[in-house]
Parts: sequence; structure tokens; C-alpha cells
Amino acid sequence: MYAYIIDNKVRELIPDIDPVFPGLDITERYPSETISKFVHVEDDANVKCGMNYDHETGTFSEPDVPVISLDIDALKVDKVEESKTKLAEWLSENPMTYTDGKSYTATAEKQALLNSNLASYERAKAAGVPYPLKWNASGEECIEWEYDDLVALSLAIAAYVAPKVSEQQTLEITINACQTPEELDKININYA
Amino acid sequence: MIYCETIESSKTWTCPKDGVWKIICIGGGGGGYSYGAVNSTKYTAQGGAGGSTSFGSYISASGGSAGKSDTAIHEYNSGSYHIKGSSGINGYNGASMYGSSGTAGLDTGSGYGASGGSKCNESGQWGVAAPGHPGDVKTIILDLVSGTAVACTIGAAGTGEEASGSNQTIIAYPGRKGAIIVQYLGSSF
Repeated sequence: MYAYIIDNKVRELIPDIDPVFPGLDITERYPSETISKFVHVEDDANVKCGMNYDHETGTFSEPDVPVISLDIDALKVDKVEESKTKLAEWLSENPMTYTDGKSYTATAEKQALLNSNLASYERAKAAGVPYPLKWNASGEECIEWEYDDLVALSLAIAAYVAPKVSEQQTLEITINACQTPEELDKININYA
Repeated sequence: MIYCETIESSKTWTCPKDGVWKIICIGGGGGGYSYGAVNSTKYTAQGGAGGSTSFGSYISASGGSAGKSDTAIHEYNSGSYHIKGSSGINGYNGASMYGSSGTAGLDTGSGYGASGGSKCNESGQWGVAAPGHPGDVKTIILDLVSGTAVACTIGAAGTGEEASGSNQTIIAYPGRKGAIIVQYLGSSF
């Protein structure tokens, strides 16, 4: 077979005989200018695409393995982002079970909505305007709540979430204290 | 007579008429390259180079090289490695000279000899992604005699690779195979 050498590397391996053209020599399948870049090797010579070729010695060698140096600060940013993403995923997948036996979503978005709902009720009450206070358990429709009961629910959700948020903050401190990528690799982010 | 044929698979082409013929050879596009970490485990996906396309002993176009890490480093490095994806570069008859930009990895470009892009991780991880290079394009105008048989070798697409165990996030996309476009221009010079 022939090793097609471009920029001192084996770009392609070309068979002596192409089964599509069984009777044709290499000189009838490629122009001479291209053939001048071919190096003939035995089929079992263990020459592979990507190998280096030394024109002076006529020898092949394994390609260099690129070493990518790592920017520790960028890795820390990514790891911290990972800790926040996984926290959000955990909260999404683990709703809180309340005293009424139902599940309530505890994501940051849902907490913000609940607090906004309560704040709107308080403003409406101050203005003497009626405001129906509604909220829903996971997978259920919204129902009316008494203010004190919904405040209790919001505080229960906050208490449920707090330890996990604290865990993420501790992770963030640990991540930022790392000095090498290897130290970062050892940090396992798991909120289970 | 108007005659134009696009040869997409290797075969023997026989000249149907005396005259001047324009031959365009497009090499196969190279596959992409991707390197990164998923949950602190490092993965590599390396595409392969495209194959060369040849119109007998008249003319040939080499395939595009595969993507490689130092390509990405030299072109995109600013001190951090957050190249989440690279688009394949369009080949001949593609919509534009370059593939579309984007942070999400896009796969193979359009057109003959287009290169493969690559994908490297979702947010929260790090990595380097580089596209392959499109196949070369070579053109020649020949005075051919009817009945001339020419061995047409079509360059294969550069291979792609998905790093096993990387949860489908470290992917080098394949290139697109080359072609030969044969056009009759008229009677002899």
C-alpha cells in the first residue's frame, strides 16, 4: 500500500490495487504529481494514518500526543458552575413533602414565585384590595390558601432548601481553595 | 450538447464525446476533534482525515485533515479552554465558505468535502473542540477523446468518533465525502 504524505504526516493509506479498478496500476489512478508524495509500504508494516514521516530517514513514528495545559482559574469557574447546576437539578428532582402529605416543588424559580405571590397579597391587603391567594402542590391545580398557611409553607420550603444551599456554598469555598486541576478533579459534587 | 455529471462513488467514467471537458475534483472532508472532561473524567474523540479524490492520472484533490487540539489552541486560546463546540466547515457547493458560528457543536457542514465539527460538554465542564478541514478542490480543463476511460476515485469522508462513556458530550463529527464534477464545455480547443 501507499502512505500519502502531506506536511510530514500520513494523511491517507491507498491500496496497491483498488478493487473498484482491479486491473489498474497506481499510475493510472492518480496523477504523477500526487504519486510523488506517496511512500510505498508493506501492508503489514503497521503504518497508520496520522503517523509522522521523516523524509530523511524514511521512517514512520507515532504522532505526538498534545498536552493541553489547564488554566486553573477557568476550571474553578466551571466547577463552581457545575455545583450550582447540580443543585438546581437536585431541587427539581426532589420536591419537598409537606405536612399535608403532598409534594411541593422547591426550585429557586418556584420559591421566587411563591414569595412574589405572598408579597402581592400583602400589598393588596395594605391597599384594601382583594387578592385571591393561590398555590399548587406538584402535579395538582392551584387552590386557595389562607395567608398564614402559605407563609408556613414558604418557610418550610426555605428550611428544606437551606442545608443544600449551604452545601453548595461550602463546595464553592473548597473549589476556590484548590491549587491544581488534580485537586479539583477529586471534588465530587453530589447532593444526594 | 449540454453535459454535466457529478460522480459521487468511485467508478470508471467513459468520455461520451470528443471535446473540451472541465473536471473539478473535491477531496473528502476531515472529521472533527474533541477533548474534555465529563464529571472529572477526561475523554478524547478524534475524527479521521478525508480521502483524496482523483480523476485518473489527470488530477487529484487531497482530503481535508482531521481536527486537532493545537488547531483549537492556536486559533481560540485566550487562556482558558471553554470551546464547547465547533461547526463543520461547508464544502464545495455549500451555502457559504465557512460553517455557521455557534457555541453549540454543529455536525458536518454541507456540500461535497465538507468537514465535521465537534461537540464538547455541556455547561459546567471544560474542553476543547476543533473542526476538521474541508477537502481540497482542484480543477483542470482537458481535451478528451470519446471513449477515453478514466478511473474516478472518490475521497471518503473523514470518520467521526464519539468518546465512549462521555454521555454523548465528547463527539467528533464525520466529514462529507468528496466528488468529481464533469462538465462538457464544447468542441476541441
